[in-house]
Amino acid sequence: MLATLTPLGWTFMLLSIGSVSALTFWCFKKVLFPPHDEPDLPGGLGP
Amino acid sequence: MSNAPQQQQWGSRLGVILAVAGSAVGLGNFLRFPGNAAENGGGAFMIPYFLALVLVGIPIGWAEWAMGRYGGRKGFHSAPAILGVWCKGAWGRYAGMFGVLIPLGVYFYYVLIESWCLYYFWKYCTGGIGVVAGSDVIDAQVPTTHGFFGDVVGAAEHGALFTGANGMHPVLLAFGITVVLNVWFVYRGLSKGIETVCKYAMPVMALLGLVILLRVLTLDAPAATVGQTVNDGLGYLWNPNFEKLTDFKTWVAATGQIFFSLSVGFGVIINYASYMKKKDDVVLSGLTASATNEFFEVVLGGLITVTASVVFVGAFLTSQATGGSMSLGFKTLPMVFAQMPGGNFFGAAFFLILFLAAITSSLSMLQPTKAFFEEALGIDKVKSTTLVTLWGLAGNAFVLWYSKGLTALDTIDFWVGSVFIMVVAAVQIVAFGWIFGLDRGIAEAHEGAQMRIPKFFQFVIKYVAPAYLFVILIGFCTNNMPGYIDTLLGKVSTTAKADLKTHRQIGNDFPDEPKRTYSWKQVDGPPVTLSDAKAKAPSFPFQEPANAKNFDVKFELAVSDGTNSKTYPIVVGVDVESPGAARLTWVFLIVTIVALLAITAAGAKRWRREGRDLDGLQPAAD
Repeated sequence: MLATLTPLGWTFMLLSIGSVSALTFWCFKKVLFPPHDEPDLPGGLGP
Repeated sequence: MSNAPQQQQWGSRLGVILAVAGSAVGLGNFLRFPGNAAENGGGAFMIPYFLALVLVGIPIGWAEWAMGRYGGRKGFHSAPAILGVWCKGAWGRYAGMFGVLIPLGVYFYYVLIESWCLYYFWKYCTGGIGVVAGSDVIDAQVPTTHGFFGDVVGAAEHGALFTGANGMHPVLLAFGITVVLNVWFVYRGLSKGIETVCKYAMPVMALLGLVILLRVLTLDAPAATVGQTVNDGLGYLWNPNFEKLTDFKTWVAATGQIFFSLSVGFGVIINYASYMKKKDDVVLSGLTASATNEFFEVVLGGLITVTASVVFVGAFLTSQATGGSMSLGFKTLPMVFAQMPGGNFFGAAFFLILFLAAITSSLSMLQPTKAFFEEALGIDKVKSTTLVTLWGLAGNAFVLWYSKGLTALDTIDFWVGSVFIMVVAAVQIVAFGWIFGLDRGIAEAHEGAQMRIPKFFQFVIKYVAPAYLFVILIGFCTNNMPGYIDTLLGKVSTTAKADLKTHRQIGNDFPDEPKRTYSWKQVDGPPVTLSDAKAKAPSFPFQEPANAKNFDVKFELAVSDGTNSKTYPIVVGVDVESPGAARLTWVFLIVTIVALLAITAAGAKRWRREGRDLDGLQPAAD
């Protein structure tokens, strides 16, 4: 039942942790340092 | 123009993101996720987990953010009013009532768990909960932690917390403090209350979590205990078992984890987003809040609790605790902290994290209800805060009193905190993609957005998410609902199994597990029929008798390995009192539902009288 972390276990762990960490970092970078001159995207329901 | 009263607003973009993330990050991130993953395939669990994140969690979250902000521009802040607008009619309003029932109903028990965290935190600050380091785990530590937890929750008898031998239990003081903090911060409003708490609590939680993570990852194998290494602990959780992917239950568990963790369908995001301005970004904000929740769940939740538990108490006891989040947190981890150098500090830090995670969530449960009372009844914030406090206290008192076996808590958690959430999410995604119209919905979401919702997700929102949600809802109900319905009907199912001490004895007497055979024989108690007298842990049904009182059934369990055999006495408790408590809980819920429906109807009358666009026939104002 108990086994030490296998190479496949390492892969799943690092991929999972790496992907959510990278996504979180990317999101906060975009939120905290937004581009200044980016126009609003077109769309919307109008008045 | 709307006749809505002056709206509250968030102080900053980061504030609303942290508030939504704070609402989502809760006990489930640290306790439920690792237990769920370990039970359902380890690393392989992450495949359906991430698939559910992409196909259900993030898309429904985006829809909810956009719906909330659009409703806010019409001067509405509660799920009934906003879903009435998106669904273009009364049925949406009454379905939206569940978006108030869910946060209020979950608050009934969640604030109690929050107060347990505060009480454990206090105990660790003042010397721990009495677990003796180095003592035998099963003979001494398990009885201590289980007994302490049982006392704290009043599991022995209904009303035990109020009528114990030493008077009222001190956890009630922690409960009082917790309620006062919640009410105070909600009364202070969005920016000064909820946003301020989340702005401080979230970084503190992340920092404390990283400190504990560092400690766990650098643990030495403790000589005095079971001697597993950190690598074993990580392997227990992360080594993939691909066979589990062929079991539908794994997919239901993974989707359920994503669903309940992100707080979609909860009625909170729709309320929080309603206080945003037209040009505020909902796409990136929604994604950031989801990503933050995932960071706490996968990185901190996935590396700390189960790893430490396996290192110090072994795989067997950890596996016994992973079925329920509360067992892992309140019964198993205290044994870990007792063995760990500096255990009281890390115990206090851990329960402080849980308390902060819980309070940022419970605040988000009060706010939607408060907003609903204000706009439906036309009352000010003093009256709405008073009303939500009293209603919340009535629910808290009910759950506190009917504490035996935690039946009331468990009943509300299943129906309100699980089933109804999926129903609200289904209504939301159908309203967004089909009734309001996908193109209009996406255009609304893109207002002020720094990033676009990719085309792929537009297809997902329209077709995949509703279908996926429907299949999982059916699967979830098929797996879990029969047991809860049987309980309401008085049909109690009990599993006969050896206690931990006997289990260890059997392991010592017959170390070769595959060779073991079992034979159960009842020797005392009302006659019962076992599902399989040769099984390791058979179950037996029992119909609730009149004047139900819990009782014990005694068995002899004969174990053999083909050469030797031995008989062990087993006593199994039969809980026939839980159906009565579950039915009373439903009576309480039905009264709550009827009252909320009446308030929704009163609100609709009021909004119509005020000339507000409650059926969503006009475009929203800027």
